[in-house]
Amino acid sequence: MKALARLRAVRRPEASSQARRAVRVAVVLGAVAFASAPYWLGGTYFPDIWIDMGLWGIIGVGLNVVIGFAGLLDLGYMAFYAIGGYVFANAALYHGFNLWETLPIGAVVALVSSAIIGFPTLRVRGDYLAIMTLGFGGIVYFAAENLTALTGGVNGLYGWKTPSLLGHPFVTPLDFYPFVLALLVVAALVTMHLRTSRIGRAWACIKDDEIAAAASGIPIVRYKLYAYMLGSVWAGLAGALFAAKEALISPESFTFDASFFAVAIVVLGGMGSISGVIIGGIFYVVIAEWLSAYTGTLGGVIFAALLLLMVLLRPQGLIPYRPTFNRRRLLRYGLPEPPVVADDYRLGP
Amino acid sequence: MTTALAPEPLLAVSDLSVSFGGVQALAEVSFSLQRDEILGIIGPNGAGKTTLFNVVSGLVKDYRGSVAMGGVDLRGKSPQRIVGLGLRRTFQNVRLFKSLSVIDTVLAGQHLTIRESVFDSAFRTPRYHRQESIAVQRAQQVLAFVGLGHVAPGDMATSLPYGGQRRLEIARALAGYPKVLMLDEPAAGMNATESRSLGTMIRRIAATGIGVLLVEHDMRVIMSVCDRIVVLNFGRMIAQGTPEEIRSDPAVVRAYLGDEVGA
Ligand SMILES: Nc1ncnc2c1ncn2[C@@H]1O[C@H](COP(=O)(O)OP(=O)(O)OP(=O)(O)O)[C@@H](O)[C@H]1O
Ligand SMILES: [Mg+2]
Repeated sequence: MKALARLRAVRRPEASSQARRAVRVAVVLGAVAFASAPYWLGGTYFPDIWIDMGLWGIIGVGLNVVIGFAGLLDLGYMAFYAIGGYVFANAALYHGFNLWETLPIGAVVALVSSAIIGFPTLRVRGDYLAIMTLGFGGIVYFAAENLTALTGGVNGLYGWKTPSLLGHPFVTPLDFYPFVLALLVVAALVTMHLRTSRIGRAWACIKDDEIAAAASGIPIVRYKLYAYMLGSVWAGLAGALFAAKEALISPESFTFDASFFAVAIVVLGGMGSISGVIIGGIFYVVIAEWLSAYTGTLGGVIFAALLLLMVLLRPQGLIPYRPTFNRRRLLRYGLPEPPVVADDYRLGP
Repeated sequence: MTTALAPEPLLAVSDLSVSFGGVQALAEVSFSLQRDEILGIIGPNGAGKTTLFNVVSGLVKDYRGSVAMGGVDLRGKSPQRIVGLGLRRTFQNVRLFKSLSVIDTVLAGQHLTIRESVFDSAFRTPRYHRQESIAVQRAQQVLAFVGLGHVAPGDMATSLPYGGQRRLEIARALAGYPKVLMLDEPAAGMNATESRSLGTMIRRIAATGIGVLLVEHDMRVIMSVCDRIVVLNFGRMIAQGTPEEIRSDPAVVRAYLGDEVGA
């Protein structure tokens, strides 16, 4: 606890920049060590778990755009994971596409389908949106089970040629792991960039106050749609990677439970916080999946209990998002000497 | 086309009527606002002042009569479209974004003038850096203009004291290069010194060519700042004129000023 208190003290702005840098270096080293664990642990068991963590991390980062940035409750997020998975499976099975050629197609299909779903859906407010996305998740699940020609029904699709890159076939989990990790890093960076830009500010405005956002000229429905699309695209990509790694896609992987857990990861990790939702994904895999291997369904129960505790005791999540405008940005973009009083600035058109 | 006699007004309201169920919030209100003019709108509580703002800014869509900005009819236009035409407003009960910092609030106000696509934002293109730089520098200047130059830009908007929040709302509005600025009771909750400096600021805003509609209960601010005043009572326009004319208008004194100014 003392160590924690010291860490807190270090995070305060008055702490020396040296101490803060030390903490930052420690965090980065820790993250690198953790991410490289599958390589020194070896085998297929651990890499499999780490891939799972990575995929749930990507899901968390994507859904965080929808829930955390724009404040939209999406209960059918995993539908886009399914769409990505089936797009890949179809392309691989019937058209001989490699995974790398399919990923962009999966992304585009996720973008287009989320636009089609979002356009009518995002006009409704709050609770209705949750219900409609829930319904959409259900429809996609139903379609996956029943549109046998496209999805293989309950048995799913499998049996495509092993993906390869530059002649190197992807067989073991460790072959896929770097790509999962890379996608996670890209997702985290891109969404981080979005947050500190025009579109990210517009989302925050909409989340906080739609009337004031409209009075600032922000088109509400359009920006909600952007959030929905730019969130869903990551699920589409993760779904394609998942199908490739499993060498199988079936409706089992995106039941309502999965969409619920995706939301839980975002809430547990900290809405709006990118590092938080990645850690949320890790927690989810460790508790709900890994523990379940030993305790049966107890893992899921423990995870749900943890979520409840979190909502009660620390509603802002494991790593709460603290919105600030950081100094470096100000030094980089701001005036060398910001005026304290200004008399004759051009204000009007 | 404008006639040779009078220049096209920035904002023209004619025969505006609004009713909410049985309440006649506005009844046949007409006035116009010229460039760099400050038009005060006063009236007792419930006179319809905020409703008037809501109609002009596109929040209330069900009205009779017409509202036009620079000759463009605003009927049926969304609030965002109207902002795009150059209208900005503040709110009587301050509406700041609780998850934005002071400077981000002013950047949000520049949504329509920042030329940066989603691609630029996602991949930090040179254009992103250029646009962000322009926007941040403008935000700093506008913050200084409204008297918030000394505030830490990274502080949360809602952590400012009340008067600061009102000024920040004005900064958010000004940042978007408005042609018309509507202020709904900007001096509410301010002390005499603060409201005097607010009055000076409003004058400076108008001096840059912006037309200002000012709703305010503080008569010192209204009388010292406005070029013309429109008086509403139960939704009806009972008088219109210069501060001197309004001060001595018997109908106004009866309806509104009687007890406050003491004539
Ligand atoms: N959305 C609404 N629905 C129903 N009635 C409304 C609505 N908005 C305003 N009113 C009514 O219209 C009348 C005018 O209200 P408005 O808010 O415009 O007054 P105001 O002049 O701004 O008053 P104040 O000085 O108290 O701010 C009031 O009787 C109010 O109750
Ligand atoms: Mg009012």
